Amino acid sequence: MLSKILSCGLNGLSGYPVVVEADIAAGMPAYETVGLPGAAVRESKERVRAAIKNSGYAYPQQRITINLAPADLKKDGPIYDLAIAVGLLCAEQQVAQPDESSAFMGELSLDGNLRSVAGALPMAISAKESGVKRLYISAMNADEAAYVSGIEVYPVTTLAQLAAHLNGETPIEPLPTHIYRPDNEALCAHDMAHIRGQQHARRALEIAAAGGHNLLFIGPPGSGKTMLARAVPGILPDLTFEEALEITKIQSICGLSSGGLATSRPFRSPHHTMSTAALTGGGLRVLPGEISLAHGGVLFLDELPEFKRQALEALRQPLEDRQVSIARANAKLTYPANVMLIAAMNPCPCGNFGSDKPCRCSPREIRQYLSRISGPLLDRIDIHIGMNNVTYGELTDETPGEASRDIRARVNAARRIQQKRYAGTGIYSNAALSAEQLNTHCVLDDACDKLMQRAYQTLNLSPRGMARVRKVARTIADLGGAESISAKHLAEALQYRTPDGRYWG
Amino acid sequence: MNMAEEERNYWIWMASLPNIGAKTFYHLLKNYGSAAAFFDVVKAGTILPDAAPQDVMNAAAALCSKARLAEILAELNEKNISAVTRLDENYPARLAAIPWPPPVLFIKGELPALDDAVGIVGTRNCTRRGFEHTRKIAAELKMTVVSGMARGIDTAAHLGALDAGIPTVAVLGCGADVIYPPENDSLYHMIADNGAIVSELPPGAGPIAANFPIRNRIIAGLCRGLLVAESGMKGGTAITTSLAVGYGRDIFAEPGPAYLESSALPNELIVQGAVPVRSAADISSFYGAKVYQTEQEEKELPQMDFFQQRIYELLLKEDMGIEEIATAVQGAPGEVSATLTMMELTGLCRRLPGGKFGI
Repeated sequence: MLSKILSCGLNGLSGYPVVVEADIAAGMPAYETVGLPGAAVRESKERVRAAIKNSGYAYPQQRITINLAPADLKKDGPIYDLAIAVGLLCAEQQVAQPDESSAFMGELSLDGNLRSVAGALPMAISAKESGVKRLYISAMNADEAAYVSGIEVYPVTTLAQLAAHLNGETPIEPLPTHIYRPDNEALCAHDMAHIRGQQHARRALEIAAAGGHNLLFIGPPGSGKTMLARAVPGILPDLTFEEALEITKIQSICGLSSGGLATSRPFRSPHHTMSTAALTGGGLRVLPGEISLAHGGVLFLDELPEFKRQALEALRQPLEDRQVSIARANAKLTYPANVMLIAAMNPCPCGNFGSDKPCRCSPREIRQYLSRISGPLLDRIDIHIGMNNVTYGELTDETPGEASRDIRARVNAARRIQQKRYAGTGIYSNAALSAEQLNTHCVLDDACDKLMQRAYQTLNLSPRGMARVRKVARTIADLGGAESISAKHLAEALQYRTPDGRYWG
Repeated sequence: MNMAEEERNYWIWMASLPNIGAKTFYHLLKNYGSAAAFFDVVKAGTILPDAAPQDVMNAAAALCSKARLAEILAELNEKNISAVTRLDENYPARLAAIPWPPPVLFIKGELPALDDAVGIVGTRNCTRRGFEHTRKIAAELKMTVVSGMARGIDTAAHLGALDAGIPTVAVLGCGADVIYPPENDSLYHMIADNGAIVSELPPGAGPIAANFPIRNRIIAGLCRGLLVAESGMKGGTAITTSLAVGYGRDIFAEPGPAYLESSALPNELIVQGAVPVRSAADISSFYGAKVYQTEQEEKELPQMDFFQQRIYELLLKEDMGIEEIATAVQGAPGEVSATLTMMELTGLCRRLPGGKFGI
């Protein structure tokens, strides 16, 4: 009496098929799980027994062996509960053996109900790729999995319901394949309309959102840096289906998924006491860190110099490669990390350097404060914005600023131009352009070239800084709907460059 | 070695004792007749225990040897620092006339002629405009500038003199070989090469707060007239000014807007009768010297379009952020940014900290 049931395991963001074999043999009642089960898998024995009993079926009082193949990969998590329970019932012939293209995933509670599992979407995608036609999964995760086309997703609420379905008594209706619709009206709690003044910073944010550029606010306390950053999700471009899939996959394996596919871009703002592993990913199960959780969206680091130097330096490679590779003794994984970094900082320890209020810091203190942010990290930030205090008049001005919705319309238009231009290259925005792509897509005409040459000589630009300016100019041109970069676009882009040494005095 | 030279060396030894001030120095000199005599009684151990403050007595007893004297002279030689004592002919005459003048001046570089020296003092936290204005005055003055090499106005004063190729004197509140504040490292060397670094303290003395008021009396003592640039009512500048008034120096002051805290002292001085100084010519003409016309002709400005012209006129009045500029000229922020870059590239404006722009 043997049965084989298909399930799925997770390795990073990709799933792999797992065959759950259940064998019931004569002998003293015993239960053995083999195939490198983790603690949660071992404990499934108790959940499965109670669930079978409480669903009105008989639990076999014989020698039970469960094997999870492939036997050399470590399995963890409670997702195999459902497959084991179904396997036992099939081996006992209490339930009809499902066909070979059905897969089962779910955590059982003792009363036979199904709980949600982490990683439903990536597992559904890999199940489909390995030829699975029918997927039985907890009703709580079914919506997420139903976005995968070419696979029937059956939402299961109880073990008894599933058994009745397999026996052909009361069939479960598979979910229709969901069509992805980004939530255009997902309103951000902070609307740009509530921000008074700061026209320059608003314009810079719009450019950053349109091109996916990293941005740094430098300004005294109370100049609106944090408020502006928090309003960014409201002006980010709509998600594409591919991006939504990637974002949901990451959220799914971290157990942060809201049920369906992500409809808006993530906005992560970790506290500055965060550890390096929390930022880049890691831990015992090698889960994604903040930079991957912010994939496709915004990673906001407030009070940048307060972050641990090590954590900030760890950002350098992911910001460049747009993915993060984590190597640990027990796993080597790569998670996507295509984020828009928004950082905010004061210009000096007292915060008032360069503003209308007097600064109490010595030049040395200012240099020391700024040197907490390394040059290579600053070099990866495309747009720098120096801010000043908002005047009382601006604060009490009742005329609202432009609403996020109107800004997003322009951002969306600019992003569509980029997506069309970069179709098939694997990048979605100007910020992700490689050096090679820069030469094909950010061509400078004669006037621009002259301007750039002059800027290089008089403004102390670095070669990397020049590349950044070109990317930003490309985005400004896209926002204006222009085919090619003009001198005007380039001149504006130059205004967002890194402040040079002289700036700091 | 003749007697005079020997006595001179003992002066240097005495002035190198830690914590010995000018008052204590002259007090001991008066009581024992000469520095050599003081050295002898300390060495013999016959000195009265209350002849001087305890720490000076202890230091004198511990350091009382010919070897120590040789060491001091060797150190001065090695660090290229010369010592000028009040016994010497080249001791600045005007300084010699103040109460308790420094017994010994430690000098790095070469002391220029100080007959027409003008002291320039002001706050460390000056405005950018104040800094540049003071630098310009110092450059056009064509007189030796004496200041304290501190941040802010002092730095502007020295830089101005160096711009014009006029020797300048920096009086420090630490040893003449100690560079303070550290960011003025290159300025220190420029002054040492084109003027003099002067200190009353022996080499190696640290920049402790108590030294600075003492240093200020040397600035006031060395100069013929003192120009007070930006400063609040309290602080080192106020101390220097009141000392200079006491020494009978001519007091000049740069008038400033009444609403600026850093204009308080110069404006107050003008009310009390100081000479208002709008440019270097006001000082030159006060001394009856040839007034140096600002030969600078109207700078040839690069071509500007209408928009640039408007922004330029705004920035002439004061430093402004992009925000303010955009509001004032009613331009879109993007357009203003692009225009400002063009103006930066043609040298019409400069980017300043805090996202501001200035001429």
